[in-house]
Amino acid sequence: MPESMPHTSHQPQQAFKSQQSQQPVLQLEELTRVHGSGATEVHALRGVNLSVFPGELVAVMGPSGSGKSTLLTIAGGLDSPTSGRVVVEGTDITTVGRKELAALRRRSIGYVFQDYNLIPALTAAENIALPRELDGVSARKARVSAVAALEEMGLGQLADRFPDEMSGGQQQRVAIARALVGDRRLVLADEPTGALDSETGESVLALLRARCDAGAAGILVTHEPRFAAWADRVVFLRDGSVVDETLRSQADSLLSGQAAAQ
Amino acid sequence: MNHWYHSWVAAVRIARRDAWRFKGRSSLVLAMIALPILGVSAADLTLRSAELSTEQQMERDLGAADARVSDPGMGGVPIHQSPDGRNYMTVENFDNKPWPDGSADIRAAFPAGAKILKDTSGSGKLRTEHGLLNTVIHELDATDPMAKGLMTLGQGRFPDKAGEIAATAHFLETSGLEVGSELTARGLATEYRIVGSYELPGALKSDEVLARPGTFLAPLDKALKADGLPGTAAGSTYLVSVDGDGFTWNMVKKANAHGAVVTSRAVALAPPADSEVPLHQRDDWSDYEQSTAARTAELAAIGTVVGLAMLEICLLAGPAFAVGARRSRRQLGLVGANGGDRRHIRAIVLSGGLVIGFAAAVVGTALGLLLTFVLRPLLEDYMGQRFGSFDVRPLELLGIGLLAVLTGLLAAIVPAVTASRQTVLASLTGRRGVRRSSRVLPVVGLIATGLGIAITLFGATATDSIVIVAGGSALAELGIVALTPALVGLFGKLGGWLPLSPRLALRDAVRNRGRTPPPSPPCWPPWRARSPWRRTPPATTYSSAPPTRHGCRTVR
Repeated sequence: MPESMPHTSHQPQQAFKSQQSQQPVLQLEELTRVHGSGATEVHALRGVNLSVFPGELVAVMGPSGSGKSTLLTIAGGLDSPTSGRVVVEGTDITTVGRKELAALRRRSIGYVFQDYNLIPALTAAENIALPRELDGVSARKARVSAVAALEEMGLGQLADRFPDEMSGGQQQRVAIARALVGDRRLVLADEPTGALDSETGESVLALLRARCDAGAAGILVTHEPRFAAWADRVVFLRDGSVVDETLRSQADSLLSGQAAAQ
Repeated sequence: MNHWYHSWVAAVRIARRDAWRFKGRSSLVLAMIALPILGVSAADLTLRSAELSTEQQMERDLGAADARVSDPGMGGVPIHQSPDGRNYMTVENFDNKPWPDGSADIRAAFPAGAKILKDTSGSGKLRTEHGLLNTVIHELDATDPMAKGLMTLGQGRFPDKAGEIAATAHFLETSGLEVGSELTARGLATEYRIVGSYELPGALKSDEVLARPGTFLAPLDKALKADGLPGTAAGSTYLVSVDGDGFTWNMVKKANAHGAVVTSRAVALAPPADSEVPLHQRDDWSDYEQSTAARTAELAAIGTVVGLAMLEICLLAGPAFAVGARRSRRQLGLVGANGGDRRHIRAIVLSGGLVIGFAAAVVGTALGLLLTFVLRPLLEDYMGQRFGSFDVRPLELLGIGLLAVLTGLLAAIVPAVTASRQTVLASLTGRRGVRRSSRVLPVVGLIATGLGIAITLFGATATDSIVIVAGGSALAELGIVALTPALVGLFGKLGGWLPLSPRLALRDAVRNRGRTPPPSPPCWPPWRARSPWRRTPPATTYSSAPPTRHGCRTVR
């Protein structure tokens, strides 16, 4: 499959359907987030429900201010909901303490931001090894698994490069490797292609898709319909509410329409 | 197996690379910590090198002789002396009787068969290029083997006949004379020719001339007294050389019985037990210098001075760490997003202090050693004596180095705690936290300042204790530091009357009070970091973070 093209196989969707019987990696239940109070009250999320299963990549789309990023921060435990539950691999992260939440981020949740994802003081391998080192694993063991992760993705040659010695696309690929190192199965990507040219963006999405096909669960926040086409499902947010949700195969026309409208 | 220290390994690695990436800032902090360490390690090395071993001290005092016997001028009554000969007391108690006076029969104190070399010193006013100079006149046969080591010949030779003298290099420098010059003393017509220059290793700044025994002091004393002037006040000691085990403690005690005081090489190298020293067994004997109280007082004084120095360095270096932590907040946010909790963030910032403290320890100590080595002649001149040896004490230098590491860590504590309190989201987005100043801190500062001043005044007026004065000063200083945010806030109210530039500067200082006084919780400065979450900033939103304990909220 060429990297620049969204995959055309229906295998992932079939796998997705078969995974409906599995436990979701991420489950959002009646998620509400209100910022401020009184006159300054802003409803960022209003009763959002969403489940993401192993092997599934869900794209979240919507206009600016629709709550996409808030949803992602809450899903990853970087922010707390006003009400509702966030269950990651069976653990309700809204009820755990600060330390447990950090441990969950080390072991279960990976992030990929738009840019400046990597810690500049660490090499690619060290960046990937960081969550495990923070977890108390020795530097040597953590590096071995980090290099293995890089090689699995065909990025072994980047292991000893610092972020400023890598291109934007390479940095994003390393960030995806870090997001899924060790036992992590949930990757939350917020516009991971936003700072990349379209060709590089496609290749980064291809890698993310491949990791999900290998069993990870992912949420992809994007403005770009063509990037959303890599997902199994597309969720549309507006003013903090899910206004539409569709499988990728059914979303093509909707995406095209939206793209045309834009 | 998982261990907590593995996360510290990662933290130190990040801090080490960051220190290297931001060389300018690192160098600044390193210099702040390394300079005092340089000074202290150089001082330690200088003082230790200037401290002589017993052998070196004996060589300077006795030359190649076994002992120096002197007359304390107590009429030859028996005395008790300390092994080093610095302290002595008459055996008999003279509290209710006239104190004994007069010369002892010193020759009776010499062991049988001993070789003797007379060493006489007096003083006189010598004519120099710049006028009369009061000078020590020393009479000794410097060519005698027993005198070897007492003085070091520089130029020329030692005098070997009447009418010749040698002079110390310092005397030549002070007098404007040189080897080969003729010299006279006030009151004496005889001219003496300077045939050489020398130095006294233990007294480099001594103005002294050396003549053969009986060739200068006696004629000068006679001439002065003939003119009705005070004489040379000459006094003699005797260098003694004996066969066998040297001048033993028993020989010393025998000499004491004849009223002589002895400095013996053999006794200095192997001092007798206290029980064998009659002086130390006396009820009226005490040695303050060696008492526990003296050592405790000395240690307390050193501890207070070191503590104050560390406090000053922490106050200077702390803001640099705070600025560093703020600049790295995106990086710290990424660590948080990848599972770093507060202790990990603290560890990274503290590791910055650890890394720079360690580097400062290495650089400061190495430069201290190097400078002392290079500047040794200057230091010896300043100290007025030659070093015994280049005496490097690894444990002491290690202790000084550890002070640097500790200082680095202490300076990074407040920035570390402050950085760890930021939410991951705030760190990632670079949102500015608006934090109301603490109301408790100024009150604590005011109380600490008042209390510190009171303690300092009490220490200065009612006691002589440097520890109380320094402790009070430190408390007052910390109090002022705690008060500074409030004081800056008060100054800020004057801003309305100022022209634009100073008004902007003052308002900026008021908005960022934390960076003025390092130990207070700083407010984050405006931050230009791009949001990682979106390219286009949304309309005004409010942070998801709950209000801080100061009652403020992050606003963008």
